[in-house]
Amino acid sequence: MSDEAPHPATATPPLPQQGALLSPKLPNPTPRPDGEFDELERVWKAPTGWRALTVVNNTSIGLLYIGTAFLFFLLAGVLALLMRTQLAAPDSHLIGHALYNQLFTMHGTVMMFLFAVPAVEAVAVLLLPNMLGARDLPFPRLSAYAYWAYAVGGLVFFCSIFVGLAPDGGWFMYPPLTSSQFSPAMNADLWLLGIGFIEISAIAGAIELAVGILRTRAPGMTLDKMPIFAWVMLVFCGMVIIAFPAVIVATALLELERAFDMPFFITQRGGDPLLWQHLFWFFGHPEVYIIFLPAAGMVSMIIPAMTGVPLVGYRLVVMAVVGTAFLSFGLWVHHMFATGIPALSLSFASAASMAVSVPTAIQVFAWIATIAAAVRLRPLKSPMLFILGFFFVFVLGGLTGVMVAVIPFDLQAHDTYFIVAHLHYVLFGGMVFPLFAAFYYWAPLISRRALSEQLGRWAFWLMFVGFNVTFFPMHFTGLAGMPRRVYTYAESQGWGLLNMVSTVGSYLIAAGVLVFLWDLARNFRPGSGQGVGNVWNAGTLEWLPNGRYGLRSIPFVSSREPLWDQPGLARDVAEGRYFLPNAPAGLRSTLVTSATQAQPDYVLPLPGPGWSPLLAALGTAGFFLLLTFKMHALAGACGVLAVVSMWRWLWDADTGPDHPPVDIGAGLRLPMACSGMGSHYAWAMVLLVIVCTSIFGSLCFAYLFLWTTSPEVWPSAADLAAPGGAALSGCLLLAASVLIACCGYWLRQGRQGRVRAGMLVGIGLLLAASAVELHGHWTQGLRPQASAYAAAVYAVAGLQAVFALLTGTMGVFTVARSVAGRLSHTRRACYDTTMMMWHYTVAQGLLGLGLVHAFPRLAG
Amino acid sequence: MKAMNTTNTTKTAFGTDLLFLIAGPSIWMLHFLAIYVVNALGCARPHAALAQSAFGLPLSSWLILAGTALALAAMAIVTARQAGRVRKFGLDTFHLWLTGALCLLSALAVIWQTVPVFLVAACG
Repeated sequence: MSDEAPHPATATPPLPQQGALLSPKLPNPTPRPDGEFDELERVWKAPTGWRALTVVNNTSIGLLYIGTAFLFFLLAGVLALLMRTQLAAPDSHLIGHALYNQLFTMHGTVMMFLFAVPAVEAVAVLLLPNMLGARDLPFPRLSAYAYWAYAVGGLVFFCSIFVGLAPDGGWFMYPPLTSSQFSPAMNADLWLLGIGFIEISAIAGAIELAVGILRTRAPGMTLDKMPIFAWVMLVFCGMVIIAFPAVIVATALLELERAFDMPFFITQRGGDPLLWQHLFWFFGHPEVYIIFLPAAGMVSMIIPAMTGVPLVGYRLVVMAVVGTAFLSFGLWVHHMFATGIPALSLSFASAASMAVSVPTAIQVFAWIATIAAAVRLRPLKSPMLFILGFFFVFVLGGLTGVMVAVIPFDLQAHDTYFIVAHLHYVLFGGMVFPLFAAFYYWAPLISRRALSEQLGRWAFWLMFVGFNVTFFPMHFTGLAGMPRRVYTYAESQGWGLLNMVSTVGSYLIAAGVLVFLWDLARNFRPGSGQGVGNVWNAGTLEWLPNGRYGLRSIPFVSSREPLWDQPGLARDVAEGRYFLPNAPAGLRSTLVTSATQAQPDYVLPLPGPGWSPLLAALGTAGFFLLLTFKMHALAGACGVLAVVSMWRWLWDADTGPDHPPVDIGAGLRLPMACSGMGSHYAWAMVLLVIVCTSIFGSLCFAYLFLWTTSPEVWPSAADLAAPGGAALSGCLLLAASVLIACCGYWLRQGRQGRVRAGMLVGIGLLLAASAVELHGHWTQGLRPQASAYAAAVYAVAGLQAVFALLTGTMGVFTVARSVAGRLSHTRRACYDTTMMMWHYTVAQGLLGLGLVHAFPRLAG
Repeated sequence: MKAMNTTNTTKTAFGTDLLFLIAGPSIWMLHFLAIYVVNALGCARPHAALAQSAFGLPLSSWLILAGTALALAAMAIVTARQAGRVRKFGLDTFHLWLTGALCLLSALAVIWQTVPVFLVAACG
């Protein structure tokens, strides 16, 4: 990706000269034209009545997102109370073992997938645009789609527990327990398909946020002036993009095994259950940091406001966040210490587990140093109380983390309540306490009344005491030998008192949450632009006066705490004296800036409310969930609804050079369109390609892992299919790539007929390449059920076929736009994105051929 | 209000900037994956060359040590190159600081996770 000025559409004049950027005449003291503000409000007005469902802007979607995530927190919390009630006394028969299995599976799954990750994404959707000085995120309809897919899919998924269909194999769903042999009912399928597609929603959100952080920052907000929360969310997005595909591949492989008997995890045919554990934990451990880092980012934002001083060690904290994110990818094996992996390999993970405590400690010391330097701290406010609680709980969780990173200790504590205590100290301490601090801290931003300090104290102390009463005894329960996931225990085992104490504590937590809910009911009155305001005297941009349109004008930023360092900024921004104080061309819009230096590049028109994201989300959720229930016709109909809705949604997405350049202030005139690698859509596409690469990489890992563990099912070179078919398939792929490049040339020449013909022929070549490969294996007598080798080969070839179909669909869409006169050299976003996915598909196909045909020959 | 861009900065490709910024932990990750795979292969194929001993350590462990030396050298080179880029393109010193600090942290992690090679049997 380039940080150069983007290639503007040819119908627009060139970008402003650098000299113009050097001396912007802002804030502009000239009064703004009459009617400008009214027009801005009209353009950003929220839809009402039934059309309220079509809302797309971040202030509404973000709030819905947070509310839904909190609802899942409450629901999963109720499940936890049921479990604690069951375990309060020995030999209890309140809940049977079957329901108990569903309860602990759903509690973990809902907390991790439907509460924790969506909650931090939701806070980012709501806050980041204002924090960065943007009017909205760059793809508002994608936000809406991601939200509705998550909300609808998540609620249906949760309701499965009311009809006994909830998954019951534990939140990590290990095979062979979850294989069709031991879990023949559809409970496991619901997890695999439901969670798999909810992950897609999380990835969509991550792409949206990453592009927003990199390309819609206020002018002047260079990388070292970005708020810490923006840094952590950028790192969060990178982690989601790399880690989540692994669990998508894992769920796909297990579902393929359950549905079509492809033996990826069946040892008798060369499969290996450890493959699941590797893939799951390659996602699962970074997931812990995916949850923790944004919460830590919130802490890094709240402490400076509470103490009145900038965060001590800003650069160190940025380094620590990036370092933690990377190191967290080396920890997946520490969930597998008890699986028989070679000792030295375990030691690598053990060492990384200890190493990750260094950057985490850097953050903790930075927070402590900031508090030590406070110029205002007392009386302690509710957000600060929750943060101090977070320190206590999270540091304890970190210490037990170091204990379980020591392999001999872990072998003793593995699968006991010691681990339950540890993971709750880390996750509840590291994420839930900061999230409640965030609720109390940012509520005045969006609510007409701040939350109550008195009720906040009650909520904190009940939750803090309750948490420690619940989980601290679990360390001893575990050391006394009580295993996880048992629905009852005998009185003679002597765990009764500790369990009773834990149960009492859990009800104290619930009481704390109820107090918070009461506080919300009494005081939380959300309304865009109607918040109480900057009650904490914080220094970051989200506390500027704002409305549904975000900020009235987009400021120039010269420090990390602009509200502290730039006197009069709030007034000047509210008076429209900075950039883009209007709604050019009567459209919603935001300013796109360069990724490193944050210099204005172009004005991005944003879409308004629409039904298509909602319908696309309903279609997507319906497709996956109905497949689970084997209602294939209805699932197909939902799939069609999703595709048609996305088609409709994207049809208007590329506005091209419809509007002349606009004056954004300070003498800058910027185009309202952009194409090429400098555009926001190209950046999103690059991130999507990274997601695809991660999916393919995970599948390659699966192939190579099975080759390592089960060489006996791999054929000798002589038994492999003749290389002629693979060579033909490779040639077809290369020809397709050449053809799409030619289409780009013809598009520049304005030869639309050739573009259409070239793309259609190219689609044929892509599909033919996959057909040749699959046909070659089939005629060789290879059947996907025969062995892990055969299953892996068909998985690689099948993934390629899926990508060929996906790219083909994009190609047909591009041709349709050409026919409709919506594709040209200057309106080419559709072609550019298709071309990027096309080349990726070809590259993936060639690598796949190499893996399946060349690797076994070279490796012998 | 300050001028928007007071330094004589030359625009650089963001992809290159990013690669330099995260070079240290990226090298750490490559090193981690490489040593994990090398050791796993050595243990999974006990009759292959990787599992044969030389000077008291299996060949896989020697490869791990070589990988460590390579990773540390790469981090040093990246930091030096970044210093040159910051001077040449007038980039903010934040770029050099972040690259250097991440390389230092990553170097510590690389060394730390190589130590077990001398303490733990490869396939015990």
